[in-house]
Amino acid sequence: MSKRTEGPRWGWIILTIWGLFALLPIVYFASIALRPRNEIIAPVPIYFPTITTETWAKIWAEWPIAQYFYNSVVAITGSVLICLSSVCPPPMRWPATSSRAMPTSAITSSPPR
Amino acid sequence: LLAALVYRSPWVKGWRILFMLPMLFMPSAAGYLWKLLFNDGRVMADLFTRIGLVDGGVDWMADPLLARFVLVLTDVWQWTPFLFIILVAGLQGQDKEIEEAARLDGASFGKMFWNISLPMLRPIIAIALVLRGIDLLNNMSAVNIITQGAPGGQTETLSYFIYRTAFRSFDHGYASAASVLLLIATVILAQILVRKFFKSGTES
Repeated sequence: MSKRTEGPRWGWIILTIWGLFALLPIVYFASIALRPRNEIIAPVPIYFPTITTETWAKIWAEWPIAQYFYNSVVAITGSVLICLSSVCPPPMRWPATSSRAMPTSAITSSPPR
Repeated sequence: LLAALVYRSPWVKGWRILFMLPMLFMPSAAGYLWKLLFNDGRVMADLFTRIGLVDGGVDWMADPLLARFVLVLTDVWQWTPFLFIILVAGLQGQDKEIEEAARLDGASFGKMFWNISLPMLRPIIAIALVLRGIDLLNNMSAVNIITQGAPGGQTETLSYFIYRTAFRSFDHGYASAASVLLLIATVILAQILVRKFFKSGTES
């Protein structure tokens, strides 16, 4: 089996630039979650804010996260089950492809190694 | 290019996780994030002022070109990973013997990319373009959160117009008619893209 060919040496520069483009806004977003309210929208952006966990404490105390999670799980599970059962062809459905479904000719007619 | 580079990188799994992060954001959160960066938090204007690109005080939502740029950037940031992951999967499914043969013949990365990887990826690129084309017609959350059609409706999309008509003007008949029109437009666009790309893909 042949190995994958390595890319050019300058490739990592492009990958790093794109990686920063993908990551830095998320880091900024995470930093927003750790700021006091008056430092989020300020006349001049504050790059090194005061760190506070008040919003996280609020989430922990007030947010019905278990209920939201349960709602999502119910919706997505129902959707996935219906999609799979309507999209999958009959042989792929549960447990139609058991050993008795396999024709014996498929086993006996294989060429000797 | 990103997919081709990542596919050949020894840290393919790490890059894949990093590049997929924006796609995992829900679209409204991504819109909110870029609105904070460009408009409310003024981070971008501040950074551009510091590196001397602008004189400060850029109002991104006042200029149609800048407002559109913000919408495009948001979409690129969030949905490039989708194309990336489809194309990496396509590259990983390709026959590596062909690439190996080209490499032994002395082909450079660029030649292998243009003459081997890209033509073989054509059907996958077609599927990705169809899906993205449909997505773009239905793009609403970024417009709703970032610009709300500003300035003066210059960045309003059909899907945002439908939302505005239905839930702000409460003209449900008008919104329903526009929705049906959008559906027809989406079907026509999808048909054109599928026919064009898949016909040319089978020919090649």
